[in-house]
Amino acid sequence: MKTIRILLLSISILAIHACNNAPKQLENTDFDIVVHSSYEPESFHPTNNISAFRTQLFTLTQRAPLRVDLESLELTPMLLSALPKTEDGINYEYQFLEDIRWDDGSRMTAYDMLFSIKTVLSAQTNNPSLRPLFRGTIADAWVDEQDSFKLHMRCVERHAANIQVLSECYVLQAALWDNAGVMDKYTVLEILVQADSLETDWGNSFNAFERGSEAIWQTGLGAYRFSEWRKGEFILLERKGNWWGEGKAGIHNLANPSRIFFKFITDDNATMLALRKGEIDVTNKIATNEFVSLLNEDAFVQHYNTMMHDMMGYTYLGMNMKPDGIKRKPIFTGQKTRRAMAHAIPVDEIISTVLADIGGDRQLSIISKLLKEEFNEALSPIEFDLAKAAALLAEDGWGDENKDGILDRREQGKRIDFRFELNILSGKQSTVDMALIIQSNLKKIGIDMSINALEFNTFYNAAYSHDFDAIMGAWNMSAGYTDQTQLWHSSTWNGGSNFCGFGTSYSDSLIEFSNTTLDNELRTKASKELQKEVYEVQPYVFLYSMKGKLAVHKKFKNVKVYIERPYIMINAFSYDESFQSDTIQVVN
Amino acid sequence: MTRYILSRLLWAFPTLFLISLISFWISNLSATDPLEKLLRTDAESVSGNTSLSDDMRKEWQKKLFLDKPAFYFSLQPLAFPDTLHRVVSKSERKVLRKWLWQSGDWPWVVELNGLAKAIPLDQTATHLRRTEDLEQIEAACLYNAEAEYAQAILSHLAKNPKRILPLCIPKLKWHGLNNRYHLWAANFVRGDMGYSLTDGQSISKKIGPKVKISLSISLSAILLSILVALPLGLWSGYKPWMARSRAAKVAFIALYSMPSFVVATLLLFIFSNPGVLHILPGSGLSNPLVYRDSWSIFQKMAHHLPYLVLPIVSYALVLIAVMGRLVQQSTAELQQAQFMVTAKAKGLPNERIRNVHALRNVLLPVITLAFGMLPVALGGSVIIETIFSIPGMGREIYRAMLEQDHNLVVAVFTLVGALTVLGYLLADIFYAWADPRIRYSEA
Repeated sequence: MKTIRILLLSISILAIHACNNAPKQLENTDFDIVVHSSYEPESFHPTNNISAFRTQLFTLTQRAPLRVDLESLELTPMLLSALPKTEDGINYEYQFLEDIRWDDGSRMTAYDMLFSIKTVLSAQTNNPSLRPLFRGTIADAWVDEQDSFKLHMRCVERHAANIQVLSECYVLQAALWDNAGVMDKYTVLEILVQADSLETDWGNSFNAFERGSEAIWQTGLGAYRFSEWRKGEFILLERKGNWWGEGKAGIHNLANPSRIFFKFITDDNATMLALRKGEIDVTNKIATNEFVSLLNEDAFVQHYNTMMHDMMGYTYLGMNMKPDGIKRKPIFTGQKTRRAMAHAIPVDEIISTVLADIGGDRQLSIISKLLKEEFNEALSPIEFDLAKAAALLAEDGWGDENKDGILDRREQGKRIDFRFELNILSGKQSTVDMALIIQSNLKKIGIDMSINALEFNTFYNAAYSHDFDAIMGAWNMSAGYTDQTQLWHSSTWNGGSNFCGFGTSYSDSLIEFSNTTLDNELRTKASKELQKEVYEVQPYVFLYSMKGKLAVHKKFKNVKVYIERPYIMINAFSYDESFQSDTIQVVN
Repeated sequence: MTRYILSRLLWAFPTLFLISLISFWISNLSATDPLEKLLRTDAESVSGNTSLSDDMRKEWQKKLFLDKPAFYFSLQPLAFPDTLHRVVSKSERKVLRKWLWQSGDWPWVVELNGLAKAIPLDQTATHLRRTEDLEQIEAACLYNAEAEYAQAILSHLAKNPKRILPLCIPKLKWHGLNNRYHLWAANFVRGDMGYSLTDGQSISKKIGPKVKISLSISLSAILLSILVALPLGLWSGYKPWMARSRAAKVAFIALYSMPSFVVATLLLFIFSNPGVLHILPGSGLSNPLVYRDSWSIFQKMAHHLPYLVLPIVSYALVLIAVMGRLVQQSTAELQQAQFMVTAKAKGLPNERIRNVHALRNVLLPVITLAFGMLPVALGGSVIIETIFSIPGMGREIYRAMLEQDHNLVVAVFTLVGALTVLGYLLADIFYAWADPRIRYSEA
């Protein structure tokens, strides 16, 4: 018993020591920034891994030859002396800057770019996200014989998105990733043609897990060095000394904070407390309820600037327009039925109740309202009107033949009930709440909707194979040129994300025209016409565009928010000694 | 005793075999195709885009032993081919098996598969390739009867031999040691638990640091709960009629009925909240702004300690409630035992009766509970690790389950099974130590 007492006493002493030892407040005198993240990817492989967080991190550590400028929303050269030159929209010439240097002091040349392109194209790399895009775009690429800073690229066909294909490609240092020069043995053409016969060993080492987790493989051309990754806790980026981009113009070339920490906090309550304690400087990963609650706390408001910022993504309810007719009944084959659905879904109520009026704006079209030039202003919201919905359903042949309270109609002689499943992604209460609101409203007009919550893979496998009646999903959009083929061309009913089966020869021709014309004005016209077509055909009921919640400590100034990812540029923040910085500035 | 331990150890082998077999079997039942999951090729293939090279695919198929039969032997109808396991896609294998059950003729099934694969990509019925019910395929083809592919499939369906006999005759095939289970189990014994399906990383490497964290927290919590619950239970149970005993009972029950997420969140809001008490950190294991890898082990421990207090206490409180109540009840029941009455009659001081005579007797349930916690300790606590943002095993297993990383789940399940066996063995040994009256026979 005595031993137990002594042990208890020791534990108490240790606990008291622990309490005294607890950090009272994180002191950021050295101008560090602690950025909160609720999600931690498994890997940061420069080509194989994709995640929104990776994009945020790579903005600081890596460089692609060009990207969409956050302020102008125009394509801007990052490693090039100018935007790639083309005369025919097929052949492009990339002239790289000659003063770009890797961390070891060696020059970055067009050979590094060529190597990076080859790694994406190679069937030896486990990179299913980028490779289809690259293989569909790039027919050949080679370095100029006279100029090692010039890259030539020949594209498969004329396409408006050709010019931006390399904006997805972070430049890898060939000497680091392929010091044996294995890829040098093959031309791009050979890699494209002999997909299976190339070096498997090289592919294995390129794909190895360590390449996405160890700091050495994170060497990039960005202003920050990936310094440490303590799994489950934080990632540390440190500003490079003697960085090649120092002093160059543009927001991307700023590197004000000396260290940037990405701290992983998974729990919403813990995030809220960390904000109260000032342990986090920046977060855009906070739950709506916690955010609203913090806004009512004086101490928080005194220390943080906050805002709900616009994003270009949107949520939708998609209806299967081309069901197989057996497993999935032909319920949504008629335009009037789909329009009735749009009238029967109370989008404004969803925004005001589920999203607490701050989480989103009504989405009207396939193009975000934020892209003012391209958005078709003529499109008006479809009002919530159950009577109108019922009338449209009656026009489309829906009645109640068996008087069971559920609508039905005859299809090829057989009676089908208006009962359908709405597939939603599991794990998010707000999605379930939205589905419940929709369900209760549809019930009022005799539609029986059941909710089918599926995990991510099952949800998308069902969507890709059109094994659904209706789905509630979301798309992230970009300010760069968006090829609408993937979502709306009839050819991508199979092989793309045209889950619902939208597409007529007219809409296809609009997409094809947009993709191939070099006249921006005509392209915008075609885009507006496509928006109108989708609006009329109504494969989706557009729900709301997403909003981000942002909190930034007032000790930082020059905080600007953009509509394009990563929404904020942490590297541009500067320290405000007065601790009274202005509110967050909305740029776009 | 030694013979007993040896016999228990011998029994442990078939138990572990059974555990590994069950976990392996469960992972095989999953609808997820390990290869598609690992190489993320499912989205690629449905989207019709250029896939990973066949060489790479085959290499991973070998690494995961997917080119081998599942077990030492197989028992299946005569109609089934011996090489079905070589079909790379799990979903395709499943469909072919279902079609075989409906036709009893392998060449006919192969031909149907060819026709289904030939459905043009722009047609609405490509999902028929994965439709198991032949009647559904027929109905869908009739619905799209004008299409060329539908006509070809309908004419092939009309020729369905529907052989019953080959489906009724069982065929036993011996595959020897070169099977998936044997290779996996042999590697597991050597410490190689295979590869995670989310990133291809070695599972041993992946879970190693997380096991350390979870074990440190859980074992500290178990130790803390023993140190608190044992004296508290003895003290409160020794005189069960007193108010302190009733108060302790209420406290134990109240604590026990509180879910761990409530306890953890409460502690977080009390001790890590500037509005109440801000004396302990609330998330993570270190302060990235000050933590240095170059520190000595003592500096590191001193730095980590405050971060561990709340998770350990949250974990321990529930255990204290269970353990304390058990000890309290056992102590109360001992009051009427002859040896206690004799000790009191001899005039021994209360403290000595409680701390010497009663203690040994109430140790048995504590031993059971503490060693029963051993496997749980490895698994960590999803709730506590999530609330305090601790990168431990609980979160890892939860992630693995969500992301269908069956290889990792199976490895942990088997490891936990092994620890359970070990825990019970240790508990038996400690029983004998705590109560010398306990003697084990070989039975």
